[in-house]
Amino acid sequence: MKKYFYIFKTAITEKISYLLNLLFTFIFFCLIIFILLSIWNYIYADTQIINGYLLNQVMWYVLLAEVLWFGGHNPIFIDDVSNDIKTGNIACKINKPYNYIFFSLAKYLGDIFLQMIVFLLIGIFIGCIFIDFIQNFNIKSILPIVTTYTFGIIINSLIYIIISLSSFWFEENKPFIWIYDKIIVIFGIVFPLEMLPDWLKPLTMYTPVFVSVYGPVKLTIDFSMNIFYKVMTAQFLWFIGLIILALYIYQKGAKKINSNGG
Amino acid sequence: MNVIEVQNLSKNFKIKKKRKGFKESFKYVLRPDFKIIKAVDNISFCVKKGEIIAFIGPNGAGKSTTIKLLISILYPDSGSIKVLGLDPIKNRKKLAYKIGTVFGQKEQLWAHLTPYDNFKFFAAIYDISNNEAEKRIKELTNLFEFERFINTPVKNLSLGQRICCEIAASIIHNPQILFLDEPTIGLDPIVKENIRKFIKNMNKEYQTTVFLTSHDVSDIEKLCKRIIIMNDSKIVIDSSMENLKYNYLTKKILEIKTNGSTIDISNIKGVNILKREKSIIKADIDISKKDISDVIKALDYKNIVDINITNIPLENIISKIYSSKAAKL
Repeated sequence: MKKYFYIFKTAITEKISYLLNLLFTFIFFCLIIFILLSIWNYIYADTQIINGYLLNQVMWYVLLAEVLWFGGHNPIFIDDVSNDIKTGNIACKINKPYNYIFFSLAKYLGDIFLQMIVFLLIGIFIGCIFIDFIQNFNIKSILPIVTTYTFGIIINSLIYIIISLSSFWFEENKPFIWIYDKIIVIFGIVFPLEMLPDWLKPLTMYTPVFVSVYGPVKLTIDFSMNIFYKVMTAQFLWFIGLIILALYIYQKGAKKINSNGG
Repeated sequence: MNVIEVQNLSKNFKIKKKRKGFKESFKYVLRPDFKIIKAVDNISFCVKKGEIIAFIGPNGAGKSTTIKLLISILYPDSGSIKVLGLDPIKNRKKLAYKIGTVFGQKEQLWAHLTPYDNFKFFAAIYDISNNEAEKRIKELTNLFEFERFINTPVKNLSLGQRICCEIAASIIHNPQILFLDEPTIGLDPIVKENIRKFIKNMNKEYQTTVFLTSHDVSDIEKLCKRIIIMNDSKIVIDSSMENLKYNYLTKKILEIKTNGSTIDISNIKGVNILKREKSIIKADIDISKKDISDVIKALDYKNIVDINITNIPLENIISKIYSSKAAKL
């Protein structure tokens, strides 16, 4: 565990040099937030509540979901893993005394750690200025909320790692990333899951959207122990399932390494 | 004591075979063709503790594949491998603590971090305590003379400095075997010499076994006492450097400087004139056909100013082995 923490720490140290690169992402983030908040303002022009959500809650939902998406997104990592597999450079990484999946997870989390903190702080700042404080937010619920955020980020990272590992079989895995990103954006960020058609709602409870975005954000704007247990149980099951899947895929993939030549 | 034991090792690669032309490319999508490439074909060898062994061959001979099999990156199709008594596939993690690897053409360092941070990282990966890591970094800094650039980000280092750091990072845990895959590729002669000196010192001081692949014959000549040559996926020669020279050194180069007079040695059996200028004659002598002393005796001493007899460079011997084996195959 200690060495994985060191990998996490090293990834953070390396990412400090990239921090300024986030500037353009910030501009894009602010633009998206501005558009989404304007749309929701317009939708709520004639009404107070939609599907149990007040305007304040839905705006904070959209804002925090955006923070999770922008903060947890790490295209460089995905490209790196894919390129490592395709070029055979993975040889330098897998013959070390660590588990490659946990190495990747620690590195992914280290890579996104600073950007997540920065986006979170900026998101909260924008929220407090343009939306007002979260209604009925109880500071005592902060610990369970942070726990679900952490697990949500880990689950999201594991999904990206698994997609990256598909390079063992596929020349191009960008379409998978595109599909996953769009699922998260459409079903998890633009509006809360409650606003989906009734027939679709039960299905969404089993998707990564529920555990990586909806669950943690829902708890922030409307905390209840009942939802917390539900989210934590789902996150735990997803976490275990994804770890097993990632280890299995890696084990199968490693046997397929075809790096002939020096 | 053998630290590497390889028995009847084979590895094939299944490679997609592309078809020519537009129409054929579509057919290929529906019914792809594969071809099997024999990368390593039934090879066996052992390496003793403390040996520096040259594992060489032309491009595509199977050297890098063999190294990757030895360090558990690739799975063998058949045969057995024991490295320090361990099966690399079954004991990958355990073995990783005992070996070090450097791939000259691949990077394992974190580019934005300094060598110092990288060494600390590798020390943590190999479960080396903080105090021990500091001690080891100091030791390596002195050996490699890193002081000047230990706090410069790796991305700003020259290739030579980076390779030195790659090697240092690979041996931070003091491995029992060091696998070096073309470590001096693209380096200038001074850096190459430093790396060779370091490998020699490390071998002498820690009895580290070094398994080296290189296309640079000077690396082999200056470091290795034993040489394994691979060609077309098979081991074609496994011999000591001395034996190799003895068996393959069938020619000597004779260079004669005259006072301007013409000397004719072309009629002597086994002599082949390579170059003839005004007062210089250069010839190779097949010592299996004619003794060098007989050739000297046949010379007209009166007109000779200087004589120089040298061995054929190892590079030529190796090239000859590569081409003769390739011709046979």
